[in-house]
Amino acid sequence: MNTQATESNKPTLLDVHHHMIPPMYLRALAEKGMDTGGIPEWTPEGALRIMDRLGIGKALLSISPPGVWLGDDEEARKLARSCNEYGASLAKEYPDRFGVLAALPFPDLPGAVAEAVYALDTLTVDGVILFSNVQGKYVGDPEYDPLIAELARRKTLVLLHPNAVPEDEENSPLYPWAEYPIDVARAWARMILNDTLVRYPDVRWILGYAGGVVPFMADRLGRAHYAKTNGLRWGRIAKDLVRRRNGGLELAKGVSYDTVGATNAVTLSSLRQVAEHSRIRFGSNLPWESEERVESSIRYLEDGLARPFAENAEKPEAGA
Amino acid sequence: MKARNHRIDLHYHIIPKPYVEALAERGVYGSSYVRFPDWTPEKTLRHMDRNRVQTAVTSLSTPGVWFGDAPLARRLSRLCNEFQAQMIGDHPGRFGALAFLPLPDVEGALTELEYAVDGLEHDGVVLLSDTDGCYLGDPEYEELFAELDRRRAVVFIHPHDDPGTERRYDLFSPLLEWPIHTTRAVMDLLYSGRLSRFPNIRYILAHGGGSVPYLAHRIASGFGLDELTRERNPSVGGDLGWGARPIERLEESIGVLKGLYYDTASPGRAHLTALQEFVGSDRMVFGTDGGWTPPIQTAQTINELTRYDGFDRSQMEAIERGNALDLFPRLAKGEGVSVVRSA
Repeated sequence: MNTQATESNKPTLLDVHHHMIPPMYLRALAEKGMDTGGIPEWTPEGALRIMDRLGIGKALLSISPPGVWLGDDEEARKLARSCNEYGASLAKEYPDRFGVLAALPFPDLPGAVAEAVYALDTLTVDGVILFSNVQGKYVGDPEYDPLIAELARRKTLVLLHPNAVPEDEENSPLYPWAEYPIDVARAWARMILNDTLVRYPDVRWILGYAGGVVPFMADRLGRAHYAKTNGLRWGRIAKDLVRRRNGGLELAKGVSYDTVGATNAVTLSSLRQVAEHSRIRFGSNLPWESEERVESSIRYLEDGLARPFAENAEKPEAGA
Repeated sequence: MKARNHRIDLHYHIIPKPYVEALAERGVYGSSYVRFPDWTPEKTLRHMDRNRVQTAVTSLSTPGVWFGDAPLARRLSRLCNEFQAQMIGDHPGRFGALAFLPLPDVEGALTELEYAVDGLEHDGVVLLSDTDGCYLGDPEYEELFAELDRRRAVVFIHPHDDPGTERRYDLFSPLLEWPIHTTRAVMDLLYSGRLSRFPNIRYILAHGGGSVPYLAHRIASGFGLDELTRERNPSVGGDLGWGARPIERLEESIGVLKGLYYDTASPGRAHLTALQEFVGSDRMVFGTDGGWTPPIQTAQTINELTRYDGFDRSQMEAIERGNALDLFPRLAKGEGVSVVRSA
C-alpha cells in the first residue's frame, strides 16, 4: 500500500532511478583510477534535502555505472555486498524515504545469483539494478538465465540501466554520451531473441532512460527472433516476420519505463503509445542529473500528465 | 474505377543483376545478414502499383560499392547510376534516382556526382551512414559537402553495415544497429557543424531517422560533450564534462534536427507519433524500403501509416506526395503518365 504522505503539500513521488554513491564505492573507484568524469557529490542527508525540495517522497537507491564489477570477480562480490548493506542500512534508518535496488557483480554469474538471493531474501531490498551489458556480456544472453530465473521466482523489480559498451567493441559508439541509452535496446533485443520475457514473465522490468529506444522501435525490435539464423532469405521469412511483429509490440507493452530523458514532447508522446499510464515510472537520475533539471522535468510531467506519478508511488511488493 | 497511383516513394532500392554478379566475384552475396533478393525493375513496377506508388525515387543500399578498391567502387557506382538512368528512360514518370557515390574516395565521389546529376539527371544522392569507418562528419568529406551545398542537393542518408560483421552482435543487425548507424551519421553531421555550415543541403533520413527523433533531446544536449566533437567542430567552446553541456546550443541543435526530412519506412505507431510530434507532417516523406523489404512488409508499413489517425487529409497528402514534390519538382511533371525531362 502507499507508504507516502497523502496531504497534497507532502512529497509524493517515488523515484525509481536515483543513484547513491557510498563512500566504499567511491574508494573502490579511486583505487582503480576510475574516479574521474565528474562524479557528483552525494550524501544521504544531501539527497533527502533535494528530495524534500523537489517533492520526492521516496527514492530507490542504486549504484550507477560502471557498477561494482571493476575487473575482478572476488572484489566485485565484496563491493556489491558492502554497497548493498550500506543501502539496506539507509533504508532501515529512513524506511519512508529510501529503498534499495541492489547491485550485483554481473557478469560473474554465480556471484550475481548469490548476491541477488542475499540482497532480496536477507536484506529485503526492493529490487535490483542490472546494467544492459558489463564487459560485453548482456542481460538477455542465455548464460544468464539462472540469474533471471532467481529474479523471476521472487517477482523482482529490476531497473535495466544502460552501460557503456566496452572500448574494444568493434562497433563502439561514435559519441558515447549521446548513444548511451541505446544500449538498453541492445539488451532488450537479446531478451526477445532469448525469449527471456516469455519464459520469465514474473520479473518486473523497468527499462531505464525511457527504454533507450525500445518504445520507438518496439515493432522493429520484435523481429529479433530472426537473429538465430544467418544468411536469411527475406521471402521465406517475411510472413512470419509480420506475424511476430505484433509480438514485439506486446512485449514492449508488458514492461515499465522510467522518465529519464523522456521529459520532452517527442519522447514522452512516443513512449505513451507503448506504455500505459501505470507503466511510466518517475525517475530522476539524481545526483547525476542536476537538481534544476530534475525540477523542470517534474514540472513538465505534472503539466503534461496531471500528476500521474503519485498514484504510481506505492512501494513495490516485497521480495519473496 | 481503379484508384490512381498517387504516392511518391523516396525509399526504394535497386539491386541490379550486374551489380550482384560483380559482388559475387568478390565473395559478397548480400548485406551483412541478408542475401540479395531476386530483384528486377519489372517486379518493382508491379510492387509500386500494388502500393499505389506513382513514382519511386530509387537508390542503391548497403553493402554499397566500397570493398577497399577505389577503381571497383567507381565502376560499380557508375554501373548502378546508369542502371537507374535507364529505368527512368524506360518507364517515364515512374522513377527518380539518387546517385550512389564511391566514398570514401572523395575525388571519385565528386566526379560521379557531376556525372550522375549533370549527365544522367539524377535527382539527388544517397549517402551511406558510414563507409570504411568514416561517418558523414568526417573532415575528409568537406569538399564533397561543399559541392552538395553549392548544388542545393537532396541527400538521402541510409545506414550501412560492413560485410563480414555478421557475428559482431550475434543479432540481426538491420533491426537495431542499422538505425543506430543512421543516428551516428546525423550526430556526426550535427556535432561537426556540417549541418549548420552547409544549410542548402536537404537531408532525408531513412527509417524515420533511425533513433534520432526519440533521442533528439539527448543528442542535442550532447553537443560539445565529446573530444571528437571538439576535434571536428572547433567552434565548440567551454570545458568538456558532465556539467559543461552548453544549454544555449540545445534549442539551436534541435532546430537543426527538425529541419531534416524523415521517411516513413519503419513501422509502428510509436514511431509515427514521435515523428509527428518532432517535425510534423511537412517534414515527413513516404518511403517503404521496397526492393530489399518484401512486399508483405512494405504493405504493413503502409497500412500502419494509413491507419494512423493523427493526420488530416491534407497532411497525409503532404507526406505521401506533396513534400516529395517540393524536394523533387521534376517529378511533378509526371502528373499524367509520362514525364517530360527538362533539357
